[in-house]
Amino acid sequence: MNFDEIVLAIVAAFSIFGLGRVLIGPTVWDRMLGYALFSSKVIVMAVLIGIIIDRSYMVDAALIYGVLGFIGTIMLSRFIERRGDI
Amino acid sequence: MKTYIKTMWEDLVQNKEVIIILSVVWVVLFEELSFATLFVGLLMAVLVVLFTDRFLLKGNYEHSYMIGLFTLFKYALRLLVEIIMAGIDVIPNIITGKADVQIIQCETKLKDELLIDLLANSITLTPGTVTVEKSGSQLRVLALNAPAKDEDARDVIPLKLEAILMHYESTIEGKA
Amino acid sequence: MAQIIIWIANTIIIIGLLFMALGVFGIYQFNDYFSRILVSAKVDTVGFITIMLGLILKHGFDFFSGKLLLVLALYVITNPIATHAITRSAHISGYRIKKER
Repeated sequence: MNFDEIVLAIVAAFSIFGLGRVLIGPTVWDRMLGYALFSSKVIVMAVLIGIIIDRSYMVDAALIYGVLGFIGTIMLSRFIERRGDI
Repeated sequence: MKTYIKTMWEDLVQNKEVIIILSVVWVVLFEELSFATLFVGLLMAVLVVLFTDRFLLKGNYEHSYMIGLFTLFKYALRLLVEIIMAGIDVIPNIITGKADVQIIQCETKLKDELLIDLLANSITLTPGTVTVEKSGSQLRVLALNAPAKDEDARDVIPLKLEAILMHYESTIEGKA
Repeated sequence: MAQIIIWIANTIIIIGLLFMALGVFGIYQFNDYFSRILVSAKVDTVGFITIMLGLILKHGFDFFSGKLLLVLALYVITNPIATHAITRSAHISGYRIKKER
């Protein structure tokens, strides 16, 4: 097993723990915190897959994942702050 | 017609650093350094700057957001050092599981709105402090291990970053 | 020489993984929302930046490293805005802590 593959496996395990906070969080903001944590892990995983298979288009996919996570967090927090009115 | 071309040329000269950054991003995304990609990148950057100045902005904001590449580079290096030092400081709180959290009101010495926003984002990015609210130059900061009531409340702001921004603000006030 | 650079980069990546592990551990350690977002989420950001810098150093001066630097710049710009949005939403909606001044 390569060094990069070991790092990929460890980061994937961390992302599962981040999703656990989404499941058991007592308040809504805890769930959103878990979501933000998971999106950062997804960016790291996409970059590592791009290094392992030696193609550079996976970094573009990582860029798009970053933008989608940011927009998701902003829209969810606006939705909660205005109580259902975006 | 002639004055119109002249104002367009002045816009381009004032925004030359933005044009350089946009062209570099275009070439990096194409992964190929040749004459065609460089030319198309420059053309796209010029079109984006002209379109933004003509249709999207309501006034001239060039003097307030021309931070300069050298100042930005110095600021980024200093920010990286501050982030890692603060991250090492927070580790004992994680292991023992005790946290003393409170909300503090403090005030910066900066006056320009964009620079205050930059400082507030830097405060949020360092571990241990999160900006909750901002109005004018008053910031409400959620801080861990906050200073006590008889100490100075400005300890939560990274003072070296504020010093770099204050040095920059004094230069633009002399110019504009 | 190239071997030494790869060892240094691997060390930096392992340090970043340690920071990330502390962040994920701290998210189960506290029982208060504000402590969680103050301590653990931000330490996770430190881990992200360190891992990206290690990967850039390992890959050398290339267009691939330029793209990685672009991803890092985008993350550093957008992350404080997202954190501020979540915290402000909690503060406006009435989540309070005991001490405030």
